[in-house]
Amino acid sequence: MRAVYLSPMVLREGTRGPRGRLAALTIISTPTRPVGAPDCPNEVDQKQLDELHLSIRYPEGHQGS
Amino acid sequence: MKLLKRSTTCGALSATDVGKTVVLNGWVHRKRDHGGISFINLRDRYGVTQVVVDADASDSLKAVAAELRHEFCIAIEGVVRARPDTMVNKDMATGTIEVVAGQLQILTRCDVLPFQIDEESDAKEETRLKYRYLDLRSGGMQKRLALRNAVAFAVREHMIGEGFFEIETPTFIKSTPEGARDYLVPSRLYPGKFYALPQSPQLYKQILMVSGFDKYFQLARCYRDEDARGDRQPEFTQIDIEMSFVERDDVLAMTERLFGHVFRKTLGVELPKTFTRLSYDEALERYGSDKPDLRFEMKMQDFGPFVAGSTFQAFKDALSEGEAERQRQAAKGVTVSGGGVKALVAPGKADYSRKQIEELEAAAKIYRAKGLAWMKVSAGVDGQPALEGGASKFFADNFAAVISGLGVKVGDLILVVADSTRRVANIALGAVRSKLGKDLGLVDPKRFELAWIVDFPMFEYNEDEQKWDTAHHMFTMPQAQFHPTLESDPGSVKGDLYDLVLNGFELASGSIRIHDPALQKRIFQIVGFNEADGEKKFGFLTESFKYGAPPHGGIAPGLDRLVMLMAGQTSIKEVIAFPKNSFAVSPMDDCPNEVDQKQLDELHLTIRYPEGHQGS
Repeated sequence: MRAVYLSPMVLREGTRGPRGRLAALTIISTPTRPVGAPDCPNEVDQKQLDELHLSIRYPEGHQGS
Repeated sequence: MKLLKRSTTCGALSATDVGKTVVLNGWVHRKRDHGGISFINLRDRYGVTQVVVDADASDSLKAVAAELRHEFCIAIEGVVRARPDTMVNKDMATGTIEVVAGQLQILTRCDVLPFQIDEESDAKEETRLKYRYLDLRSGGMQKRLALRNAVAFAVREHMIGEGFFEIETPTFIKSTPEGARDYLVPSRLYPGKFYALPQSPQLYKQILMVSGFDKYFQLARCYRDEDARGDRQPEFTQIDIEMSFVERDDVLAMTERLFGHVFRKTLGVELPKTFTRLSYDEALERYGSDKPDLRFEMKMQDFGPFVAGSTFQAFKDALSEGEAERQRQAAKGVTVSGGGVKALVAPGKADYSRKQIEELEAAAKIYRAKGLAWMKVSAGVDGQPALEGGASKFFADNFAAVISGLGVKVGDLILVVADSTRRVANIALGAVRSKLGKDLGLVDPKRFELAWIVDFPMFEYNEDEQKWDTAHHMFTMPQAQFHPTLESDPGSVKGDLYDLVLNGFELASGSIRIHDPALQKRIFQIVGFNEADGEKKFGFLTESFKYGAPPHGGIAPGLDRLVMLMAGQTSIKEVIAFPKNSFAVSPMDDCPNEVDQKQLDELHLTIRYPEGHQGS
């Protein structure tokens, strides 16, 4: 898999192109892996919650864990 | 009134300052009046200076002096005067001088004290912790926190001098239910999710090695939600260290240099360049402990060779049952050591009473010994050593072999523990050794005996679950010679693990870590930890190892325990400014406490009080 990053860059005065406009810089990177969702904070075991005498009240519409 | 700001401290003045006008700030430590003259011992964290309000002082000055009570916070301006020879106090650093007060300001008054501020408080621990701000004014606490500060500074000085980077790792981390319980911090932004407070920075410091920071250290705060017991604290500090491109001996040598520096700089004590090394097996066999107190010798001896020639059936049964169990386990591929009969010689203690021996037996029974056999060495009819009392009648046929084999002499006491599990015999007799060391005054409180315990077993068999567990943690490197037989004989595998012990306490623990994902996978498989579990709990670490992880290892000495032992204390509470009590509660600020319903609502939490609980 090859990932393509699009990065905004302000062109320096005197370079070609309109001053102060954003241009896209394309970088062809080395192969990378997709980054997963953040893993911390995370859900904990029911046993841990029981030991702490806690229940979770998910907000309405929340998908839960 | 303008504050009289101090020009010097209460510990600084000497005979060379006589005639100087000085300003001191501090607390009234003691006050006494003699025939119109007031003597005030003024204290700050640097020391105590005697202040005098002379008989010819102004009435206004005398009036302020008359108001003073213990622990008033005051300022004085006065002239340094030499004490008469008869009044010199050699026990005080400032004992050759006094300051004659010219001005005296009361900065704040002090209520009636819950206990006297002294060198050491004799108040109950609960009271000391409730009024910790007063307890910390005591001479002892001031000195111990000064020592803690000096140790922390010496650690940083040495480690940075050796090229280590001090790097902070997060205290909000992912909860991984392994080992002790995590302290959990609920997330407001992610309902139902939690951060955990770290039990140690273990995973992060290993990741720092992958990132190329090859020498890391940190005075790291760690948290363990364990049942309150003994001298445990829910939070504690460790000197966390990790290094890349090293083998075990590199970590040991670095730690020896660190401790040498810390003891030299803070106590002026010169430690040996290298510390004694004992294998785990040697430590158990000789001292009955993996954290032996080496301030006294008294090695345990193997009594097994004398059992066959005796008529003591209990000893014979222990060995034969142990051997039968060893064979049963061997058939399942589990290596265990069998039974053991171990002896300890208490030199010159044949005069121990039955009651004293029963007290030793009680110590052994705490560690599952079934009993403690004893024999006294007395002078026989021919003047030669003979065995007398206790179990001696069972050794009538081979008493000479026992006497020469153990190397005992007339007046000695022989103590023996037998068990079908050799480890039980070792540990129980080790407890007897520890008690004897204390009872006989063999432990010098001013001596520091450091030793490495190495070659720990990598795995231990979990009888309940009929499976192998790692004895330390799952990232410990098995010693290279055992790699081919990891799966076929886990019981024999030694890990590249090391503990540093000081005077009978475990002071530090460390290991060389696995950096090869394939080897890590084998360890997971041996302990029945499936790949999905490993991925879920430690995925970020094992993932990082796929990107060129260097060989690495580390160690983590406990700062609290180190300072406790250096200060000659027996509780870490004595070297922590604001510890919790034995119930993990802080009586000063009433922590832990209930929180507002609004806070719980924001965190999407409901408390389910246990049945019978009174609630808040």
